[in-house]
Amino acid sequence: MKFGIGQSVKRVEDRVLLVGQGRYTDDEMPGEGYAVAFLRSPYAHAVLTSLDISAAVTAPGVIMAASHADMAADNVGEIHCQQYVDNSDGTVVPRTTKPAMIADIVRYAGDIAAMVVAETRQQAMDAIELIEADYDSMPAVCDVYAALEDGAPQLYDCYPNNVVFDWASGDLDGARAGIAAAKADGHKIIEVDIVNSRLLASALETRPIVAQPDGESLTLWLPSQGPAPLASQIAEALGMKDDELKVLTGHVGGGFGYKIFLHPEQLCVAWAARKIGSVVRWQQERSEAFLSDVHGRDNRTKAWAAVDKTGKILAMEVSVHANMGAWLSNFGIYIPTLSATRTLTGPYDIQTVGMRVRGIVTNTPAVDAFRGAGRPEANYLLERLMDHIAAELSIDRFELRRRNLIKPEQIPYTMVEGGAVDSGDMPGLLDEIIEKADVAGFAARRAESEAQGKYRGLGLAMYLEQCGQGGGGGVDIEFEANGSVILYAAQQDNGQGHLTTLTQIFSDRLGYDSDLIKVVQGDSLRTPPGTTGGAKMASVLGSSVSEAASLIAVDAQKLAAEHLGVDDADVGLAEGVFTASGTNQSISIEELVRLTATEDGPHPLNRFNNYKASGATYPYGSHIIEIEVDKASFVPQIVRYTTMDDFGNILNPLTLFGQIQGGIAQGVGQALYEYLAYDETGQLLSGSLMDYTLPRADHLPMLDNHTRNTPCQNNLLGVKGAGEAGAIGAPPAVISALCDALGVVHIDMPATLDTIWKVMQAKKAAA
Amino acid sequence: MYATQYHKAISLDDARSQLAAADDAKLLAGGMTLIPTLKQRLAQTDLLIDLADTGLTLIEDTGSHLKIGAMCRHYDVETSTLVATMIPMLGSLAGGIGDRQVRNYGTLGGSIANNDPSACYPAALMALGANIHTSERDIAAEDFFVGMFETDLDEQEIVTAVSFPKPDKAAYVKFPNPASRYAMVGVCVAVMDGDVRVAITGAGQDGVFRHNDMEAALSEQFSAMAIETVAIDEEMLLSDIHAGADYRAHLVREMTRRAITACQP
Amino acid sequence: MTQLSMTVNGQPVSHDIEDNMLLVTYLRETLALTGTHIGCDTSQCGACVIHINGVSAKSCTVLAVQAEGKDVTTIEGIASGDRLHPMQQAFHDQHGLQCGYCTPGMVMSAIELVQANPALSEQDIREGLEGNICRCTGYHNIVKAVQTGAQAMRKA
Repeated sequence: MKFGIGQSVKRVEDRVLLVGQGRYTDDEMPGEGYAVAFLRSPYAHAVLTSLDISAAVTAPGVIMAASHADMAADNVGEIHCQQYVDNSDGTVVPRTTKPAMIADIVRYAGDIAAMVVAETRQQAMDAIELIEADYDSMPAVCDVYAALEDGAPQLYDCYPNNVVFDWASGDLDGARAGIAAAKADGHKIIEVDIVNSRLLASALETRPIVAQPDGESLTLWLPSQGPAPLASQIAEALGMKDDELKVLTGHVGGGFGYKIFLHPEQLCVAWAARKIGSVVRWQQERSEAFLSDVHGRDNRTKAWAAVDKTGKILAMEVSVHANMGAWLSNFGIYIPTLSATRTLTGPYDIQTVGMRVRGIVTNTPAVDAFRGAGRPEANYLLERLMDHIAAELSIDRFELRRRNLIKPEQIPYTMVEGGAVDSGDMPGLLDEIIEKADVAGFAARRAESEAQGKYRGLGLAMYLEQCGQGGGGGVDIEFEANGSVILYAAQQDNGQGHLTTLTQIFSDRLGYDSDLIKVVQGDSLRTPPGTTGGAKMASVLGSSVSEAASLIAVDAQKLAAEHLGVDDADVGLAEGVFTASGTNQSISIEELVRLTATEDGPHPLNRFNNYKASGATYPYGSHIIEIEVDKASFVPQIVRYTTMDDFGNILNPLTLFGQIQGGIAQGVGQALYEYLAYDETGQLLSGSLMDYTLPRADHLPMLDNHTRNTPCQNNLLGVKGAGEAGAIGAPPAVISALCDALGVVHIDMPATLDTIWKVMQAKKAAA
Repeated sequence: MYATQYHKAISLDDARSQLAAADDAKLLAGGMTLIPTLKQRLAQTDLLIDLADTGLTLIEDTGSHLKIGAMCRHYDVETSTLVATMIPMLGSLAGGIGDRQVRNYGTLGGSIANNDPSACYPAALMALGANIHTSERDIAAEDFFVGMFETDLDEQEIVTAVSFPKPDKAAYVKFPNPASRYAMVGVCVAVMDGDVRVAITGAGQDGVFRHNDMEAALSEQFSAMAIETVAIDEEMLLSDIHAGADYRAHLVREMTRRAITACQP
Repeated sequence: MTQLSMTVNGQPVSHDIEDNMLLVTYLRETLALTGTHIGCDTSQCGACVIHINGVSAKSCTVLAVQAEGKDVTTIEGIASGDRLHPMQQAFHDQHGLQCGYCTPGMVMSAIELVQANPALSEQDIREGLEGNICRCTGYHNIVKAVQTGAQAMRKA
């Protein structure tokens, strides 16, 4: 079969993208419409004392200039955090919302003071420079520990000491008691205090918007990871009926989390377009993206583990300080709490665990999900802890992990933080990747590197993720009289290859000609709701298409029997052809679709399906890395990279490994290169690609990716989510390798050149 | 970008008269720095005078010197057999500037007139004691590079070529910034008639500079060992998120070592 | 305003344009050739790479007027009818693209790279693509695609 499940099918998405016929947001009506520009606050913390936009209003080409007052006069709503947690003492977290433009207090540099819409982009930018804004600047705070200190600048009256929430999961008291008891029994307590650095998702396509009003209605083109949640939030803020607003997403130049969430500019542009009654366009520049996209990660975490002599973790307490930024983004609270806690104990059998998470506001842009969304942070902590324990107890790092891993006979394994691992063989996978990575040959390779003036380190990480469940399983299937079929699907391709995967599943299940299958996503009024968050495309939406296909097969079998003049039970479907048993009578499914099409009504085989997985998927795996560090210049270079993952059943090895490889690059980026650095006044120091190091081709080696799969029991296809895994496994593996190379126990991310230099100077001084 | 006029000069004289007539004109060479700067509204000009068609692209052996036209692209220098024969160090330096697309457009004249503190060429000009020819005069490299983004050029002056004396041997070693790929430290070591010269770019607070103490030590003994104990003053070095002054000082020494070892005729 | 004429993908084009218009803007907004993308504002990402007189250039760092009289080739102009350019085909075969946003620039850079050095090594490819950023693939399959594309271009 041409398009079977499990085959390395080449992507159906590619052709238009390769010849320059993609339709990304800014490709809609190119060059048309009025241009939007924003005036952004240069201060991170200030009172906006006065704002005079009058000179902009009368500037050449200007259609409109506006500030918060104008949007407030129209009762435009604000951005809401969509999921809160309660404080561990039972109190409710005070709610705050974010206006699209600055109301009075500036809480991060880059917040919007005013906007201009003009005939051309140049005119809009010229007019922006005519706006007079006065600020009373105030001291700023960007670091979570500094924000907690007495006398720190305070961002919100309702969040004393800048603490938004103080939440706990697992059994915090039990963990503390367990650690105390272990200490009393003479067991070691290992403590870590680590940084999970702040990142920009940096999709290569920025976040443009095209808005086209039509009477009371409005069409918005914007890059998203599923248009529905943006549509509903924008419609609500603008007081529109749901069917008056259509949000369309065409091709998307990368998402990685942040394109799910509502951003201030989306409200501004949508509002302005309706106000003006003409097409309005915003082209976000990369430097604006650094200031105005929601950021990722940014935790400081302390953890304590009680371990026995063999290295087995007896109890673990975790204390996370999660930087929320200056306001609460849609899932800003969810990420470090409910999401992170799902993999608190990772692939390890740890029975006594508690986690405290404090969400802390600072004078920086808001933080939300970035690939992995809380789980990379939790996993990084766990793996750093493992390396620290190994060092402290002088136990081999591989052996230490082996001793703590969940054993195959414990599966299904109920994790104390919730959820049950349904399948897998963690020790088996670890043993096999050790072979594949030729760990035995490392010593010889290290000697070779030494001879060339290079340190060489071996690092490993394991991870387990809980993902691949929840909503977003809707698919609306429509057959056409010519035999083609359209799958209106939830979620949104951002490069993962949804169209190929869903085509493969549908074609495989029915034997349907793949050339006749079309997948449509990205229309808030037509495609079912749901986003790509949480690596659930294959497990939820894929299963939904598979299930729908099976149900269609049942319906089609009846129609085929009717057509062939036999009983339902006497008709069988194989390779897309219904055959009456014991006869040579048959009809292809495509032909059946053509024959049974009705003149004007819907096709009788049409079907809407929504699938809900019975549980999460638990992909896990290991990354083993070798890194060289030049002894004279301290330049690190990853020279070997091996992964082995358990992703359950595989739909398409080509796109699966593509996901892993991309995730690895982002994880390597976090470990060695990328970070959003702020000075003490809240100014961004790495605000362009001249200073923010995105990994390039010469930063990475060829990647050696393997799988060792056990089918997932919790969804129809037996698949496990793979989209985030690379980004989860890579950072701790890189840091583990780097520490091994440099002969140190710990180095914080990002391990930039300067960081490595400082660590080595400190080591030298200590020696 | 602010509104601006564009004029493609048909000759050096045309460029000079346009420059003289305009209130506020800028010369456009390769544009690899100027256009991004204009694009981000970090600079503004009434008139851009494009030098692309002014000639100024000759690479010639003048007997005593290698003379390279100001509008020679980095790619031209990288691939020139004459450069490779006379001063191969310059070819490899040019081949390490920016990325391929930058080398296809960026020019020698544009680079030195901009005098970015992290640009590569200034180090070579300083180390070789090159002569900068302008529309008005000749300027020694020592006098040309004044400070960060500052040169001795006056507003009406156009760089036309650079003459490089042929060294006994020379090497340039660049340590790139991982993000921008500019030199975080770049060191050019040249031996000129037995005289050792060391010029450093990317590291200094005032742009390119020569390191007299290392030069003295290397004139005594030309080996990597000779600079082991020479002091490198961190006070005058840049410090930023990519490298503190202490690390830059370390890199200056290390890249100098490498340049010494790599020196070739 | 300046009257601008050039050849784009073999077709002569002519427009009155503002002097400060970038070439990428001219291609995208005046000619509606939206295959050439903009990914940054500091000439780092390479999503806008095209060929001008056969030489690769970042079209966000060139004024449209600078291309007067030149022969410009964009991603839209390298396939022969339905037949993809060997480098385009190689990116498809090796899964060298995911979101596709960097792809036009990546392909245009890769073609020039191979033309300059048909026998390039993995390291040559990695260093040669220094001016092109991809956020999706980890470059693994891009390197494989350029290797495959180079082979096909040698045969073609």
